[in-house]
Amino acid sequence: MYRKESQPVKSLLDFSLFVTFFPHLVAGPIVRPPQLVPQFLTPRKANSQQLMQGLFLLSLGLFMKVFLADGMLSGPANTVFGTQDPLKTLDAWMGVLAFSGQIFFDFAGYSSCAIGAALCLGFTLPQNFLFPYAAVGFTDFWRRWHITLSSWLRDYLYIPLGGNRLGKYRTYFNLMVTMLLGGLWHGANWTFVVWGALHGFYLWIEKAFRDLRNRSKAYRCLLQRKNNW
Amino acid sequence: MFVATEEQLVKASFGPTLKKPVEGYFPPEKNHSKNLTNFILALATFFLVNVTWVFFRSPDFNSAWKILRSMFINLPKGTAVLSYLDIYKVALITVGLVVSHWLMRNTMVLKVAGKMPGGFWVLSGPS
Repeated sequence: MYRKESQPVKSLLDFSLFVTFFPHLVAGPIVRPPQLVPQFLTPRKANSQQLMQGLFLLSLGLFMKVFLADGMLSGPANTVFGTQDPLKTLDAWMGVLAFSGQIFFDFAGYSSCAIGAALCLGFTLPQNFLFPYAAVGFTDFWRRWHITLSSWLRDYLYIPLGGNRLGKYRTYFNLMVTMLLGGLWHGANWTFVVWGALHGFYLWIEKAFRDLRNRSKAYRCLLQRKNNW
Repeated sequence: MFVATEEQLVKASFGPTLKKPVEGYFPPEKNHSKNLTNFILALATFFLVNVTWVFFRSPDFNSAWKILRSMFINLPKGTAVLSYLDIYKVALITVGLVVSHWLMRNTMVLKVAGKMPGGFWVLSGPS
């Protein structure tokens, strides 16, 4: 809206509906006006296919959240992270893996419920998770984990900071600032900042590898052309 | 009437194969093929992500260090706090989670559901 990429919402009623649209009100996905407001312009009524898909996503989400996250994994994760003493290696790993699964099933389950509930009413919400634990590298990870947040951070933080257009060092700087603030977004605690810093650091290493590979590719191309002459 | 097909659900998250990124959409990384090298890289990514979750979950740095030390050093005074049942449960779910993500990484939930035996009801209906 601010960058004139979307139209002002036509009526106060539509605006209020956007702000209070219940399926995503509590915990996301983060929906932008261009993704939802156009859907308010015509009356909505789910057809049988949408209803079935919606109910399926709703049940899948409930299963992930209630059974897997809360029922199966939160117990071991809480036990391990709540202990004061040093732990056996196996127990520490199992606790961390349990939390890893818990946070995914909790959040992806919730998102799936929101998307399903909206679909039952004939609305389409953006996907929020795309099999993140199959990510190859961290750029890939952030396009699969909490997609609506990472694209929000990209559009309202990374790109306004200059993105990758202000030279190499500035790109690295922007990446890190985005991840640090992305960490802080999750809660006011320095542990979240370190979490973001670690992700920023991983992205740095990945980017350095990619730059190196691209450069050697360009160099090989150049050599080949020289030889062909 | 507006009908959300699979394609539209994809579009709602990524847009079609976009030339330039559109506000609110994230073009996916080019699909990595499902070979052994990429699977190992995916496992490495998962491993490193797990390290970050320690900081995300720990209430303070003391307990984060304690967990990290326990994970990477065989502490002589380390105590076992989980039952065997818990360990099997977590191991089973984690393996299932990673393997299922890997198998479905280049597709979508509704697509997979529609292909399942008996899954026709999910995607069937007037189109």
